[in-house]
Amino acid sequence: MAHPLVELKEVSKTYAAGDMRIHALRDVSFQAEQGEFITVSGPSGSGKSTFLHLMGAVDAPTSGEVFLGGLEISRLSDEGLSEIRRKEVGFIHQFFHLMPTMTVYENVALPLLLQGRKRAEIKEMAENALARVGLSNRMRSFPRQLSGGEMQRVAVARAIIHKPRLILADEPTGNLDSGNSQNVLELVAELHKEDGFTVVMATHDQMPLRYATRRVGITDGRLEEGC
Amino acid sequence: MGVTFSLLRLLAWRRLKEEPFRLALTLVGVALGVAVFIAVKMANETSTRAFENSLVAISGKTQLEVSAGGLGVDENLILKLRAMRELKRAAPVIQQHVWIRGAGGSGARWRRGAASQGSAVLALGLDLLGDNDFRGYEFENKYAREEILSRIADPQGLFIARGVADALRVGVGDFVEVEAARRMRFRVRGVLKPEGMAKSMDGRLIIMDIGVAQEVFERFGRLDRIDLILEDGGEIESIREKIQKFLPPGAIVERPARRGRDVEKMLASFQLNLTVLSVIALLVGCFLIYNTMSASVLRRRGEIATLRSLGVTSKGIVSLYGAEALCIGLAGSCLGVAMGVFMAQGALSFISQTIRNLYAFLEVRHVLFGPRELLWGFGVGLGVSLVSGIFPAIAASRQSPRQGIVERQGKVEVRPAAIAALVSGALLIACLAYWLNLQALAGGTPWPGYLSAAAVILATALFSLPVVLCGSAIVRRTLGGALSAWLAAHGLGRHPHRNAVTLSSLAIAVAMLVSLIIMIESFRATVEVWTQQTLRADFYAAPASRFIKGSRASVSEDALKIIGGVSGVAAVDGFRAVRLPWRGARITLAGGDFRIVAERGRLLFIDGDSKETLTRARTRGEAVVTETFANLYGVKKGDYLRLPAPGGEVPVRVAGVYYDYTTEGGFVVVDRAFLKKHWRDDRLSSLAIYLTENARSEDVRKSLENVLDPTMVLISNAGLKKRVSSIFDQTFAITYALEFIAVLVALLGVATSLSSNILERVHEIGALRAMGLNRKGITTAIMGEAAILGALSVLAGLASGVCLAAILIFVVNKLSFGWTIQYIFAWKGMAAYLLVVVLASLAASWLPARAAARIPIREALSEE
Repeated sequence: MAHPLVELKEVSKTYAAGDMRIHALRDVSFQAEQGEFITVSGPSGSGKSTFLHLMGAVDAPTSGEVFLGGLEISRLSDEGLSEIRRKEVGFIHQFFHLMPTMTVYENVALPLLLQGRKRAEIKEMAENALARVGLSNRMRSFPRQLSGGEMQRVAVARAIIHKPRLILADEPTGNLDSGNSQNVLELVAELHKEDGFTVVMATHDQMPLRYATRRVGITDGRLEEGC
Repeated sequence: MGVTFSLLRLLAWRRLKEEPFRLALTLVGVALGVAVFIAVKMANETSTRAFENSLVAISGKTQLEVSAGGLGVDENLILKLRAMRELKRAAPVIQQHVWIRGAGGSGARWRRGAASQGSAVLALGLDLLGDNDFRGYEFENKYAREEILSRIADPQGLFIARGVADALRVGVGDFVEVEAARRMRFRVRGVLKPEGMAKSMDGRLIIMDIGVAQEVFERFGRLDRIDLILEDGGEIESIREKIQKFLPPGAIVERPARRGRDVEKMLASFQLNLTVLSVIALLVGCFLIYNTMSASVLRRRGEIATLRSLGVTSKGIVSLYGAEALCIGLAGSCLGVAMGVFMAQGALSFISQTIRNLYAFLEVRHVLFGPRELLWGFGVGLGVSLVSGIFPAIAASRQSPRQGIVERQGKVEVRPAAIAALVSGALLIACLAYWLNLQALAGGTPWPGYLSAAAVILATALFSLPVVLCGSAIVRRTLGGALSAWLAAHGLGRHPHRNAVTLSSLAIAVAMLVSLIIMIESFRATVEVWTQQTLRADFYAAPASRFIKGSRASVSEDALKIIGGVSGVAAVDGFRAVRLPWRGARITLAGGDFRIVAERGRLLFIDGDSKETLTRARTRGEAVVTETFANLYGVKKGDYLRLPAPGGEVPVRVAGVYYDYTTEGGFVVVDRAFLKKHWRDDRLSSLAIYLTENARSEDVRKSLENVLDPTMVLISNAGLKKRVSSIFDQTFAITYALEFIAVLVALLGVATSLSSNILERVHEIGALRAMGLNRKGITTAIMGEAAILGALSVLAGLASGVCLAAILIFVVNKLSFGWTIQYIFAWKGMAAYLLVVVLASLAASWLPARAAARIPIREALSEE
């Protein structure tokens, strides 16, 4: 029997903030199949980022289970979780999170470098990824020399270079103007169509919704389908 | 491994390159710490090795030696020893220290009172015809056997080592003057090749025939020792026991190495103190690396989070940051080792001078070092880098990927429970420190005292975080109305952990500074009081060679009559000091005129009146001992000492214990008449001269100079006190130098920490500037932060230093050297030093503050 790519079973996540306890997610169950483009909408602080972090092996649930490709990842060791992130997941963040000391090429090549790939292979794949996002001419630039839209395109190239099955995008247009937002979303949608990876995109904008094959919403830590 | 190197190159190295100022400060700090540590280590090892090597070289193949301390052995004993079938060879030795200078045609005269004139050398009187089996030496020029015999037979000839020849610029055929019991002029009959024995003491060695030496040193019929070589196959210990039974009372037979053990033991305490001080600079260097790495980890929270989200494991993060710390350590160590080699030369000069002043004659000019020492330096540098870098690296690895992504600004919260734990821990460690001191005093060993000092330093470090938070809160509440003060306090409280590390490193350096100032000034004041109360004679006279530590130079007691006959002299106290073997060590037995000391001088007895105690000791044939002697050998008033003498053991009751700061080993002092009677020695080591009430000091000085033998040095009371003060300053000069470097390294830490704070606050600074705060306001806020940090460090360091000083004075010093020092807090001097530290921390902040003020507003606001 084929497993869904991502599955959350009755997942809850609680954070402590001083004496208070914040329930970021409450009994969330969710499945995502290979090739879906899912948007997760909801207001700020609703639990969207936490939802993505749990799927991306960045955070562990307080209760419940998280599966990636049929593998229960919520009980994995640091080594196991790191391997999942290295191979299966690509992140696109609102604030880009590029390495300021690295060139565009080096930033994009970083996931392959971490996998210990050969130099020639890294070069070929990084150049290809940069070509796909239209930044072949900025390989030697540093992030501080790029516009916001360009920085996010570098982040997209870095997220897809190692051919992950899951792309998690956390408000990828939250820091961009509408023109650049449009460009980045089209790029992600195009790559999704070509490569067939699953996209889970958190957003509180309307613009990304038109690219979604499925929409879910989160309010006060509870998941609702079809928002 | 390959991934770590790639990340090091792409992340760490590029980050460091972007912050050359901070990198340079850290490297210099680490380098200074390593340099000071290995410089002291190399200088200590060089001086110890030089001392040991000279002992070995001068002893040559000697297996056992017979001696009787300063009194020497009867020369006829050698004939009896040679008759023993277990012994293959027996050789006579006279070993003394003398002043020597060239006299080749210059006609210059010795200037009385200038004891430093000329060159101090070790003089050996040997049986030059029969000594070859014991010590190897060769002449630079090749002579025929007959020629050598004629040169040896010359009663006005001597042989000098290359070091002496170079120092005096004399050669074969030139004349030299030797200042021993009498001044004598010799012709240089040969220069020894700089090898073996002639290489020891940096070549400061002269050799003469035994007969000539006995005359020069007025040791007629006496020998300083007899060196022995055993027949093959003899068991040394059983032969030693057999010879010991055969020897007259007061003489002992022992292995040559035993002779240097007393000095080496005293040297070890002195060198341990220097090593501990050098460790402080290294420790402060550790804090600097820790600080740099902590700042790096805090600043790169986002970077770490991104790496973690890309799949780098927590071990990978530890490797990355650990490797970065190691790289800083490696670069700092390279620089430190190079600096250390140069600094070692300066340290050696200080250390050898102190050894010459306080412990033994030692000439060593060049630091000995090889690959082992250099590797040691690298090892220490890398070790401390790893130790200080590993904690920030572990902290970085514990950061979850989510943390860095969500909490981009990295606000650092300190939980009240953590503060309570730190304060409780610090108080617990302070209690442990107190208990360790009690253990040290009860056990009579200084080691728990050192541990206690380490515990106080640890407690200071633990207190630093609460101090930063309290200080920041207090400034905010009291000076919060002033924007710059508010910003400064806010900046301090924003990164309490890192600022606490900076504060603890500066506080520890200040604590050491305070403790040393208190200890040294207390010691100085105690010695000044002691010299004022006990050095009461108007003039002191002694053979010039007596100013070489370890010298046995003496004069005839005829000097008493000669000086006593000078108009204006009321009394002369002849003082004699001889070394005696006792309880497996060598002690100093001294003889003074108790009647004169009781009437005119004064000894500070722990209990009892000086005059009464001395009068009773004189009439009953009792001894008084110094406090250092009493502490070292566990002797107290009323105890009986059984001292070896030529006529057999002499039981002497201890009449009193008095404070004395002249030597570490201390004295047993008896009335000189008692010493003459039992030890059959009528020589004098020095004389204390008291003038009549109406005598004019200058007139008497001139008269004394006319009658005194030209080899004698005459020093006024004020001159002697000045000399005591000068030796005191020389002794502690290196202490201050080491401490200065530790404070300097800590100040580099202040500059590094402030630079890190500023780099993290670029947005904040940009926002403040955008809101209208001018450059001066930013500069004032940053410098205010440094001033608060400096002032808090000084307060914490002062509190800790006062405790450390008490440990040094009442435990470590007391148990290591046996001296009682009055605890004196020199407020004025202390305040000046501490003000300098606060001003220096302000100065250290100037560059970071200027850099902060110059950050362009647009860039600061737009930076990611």
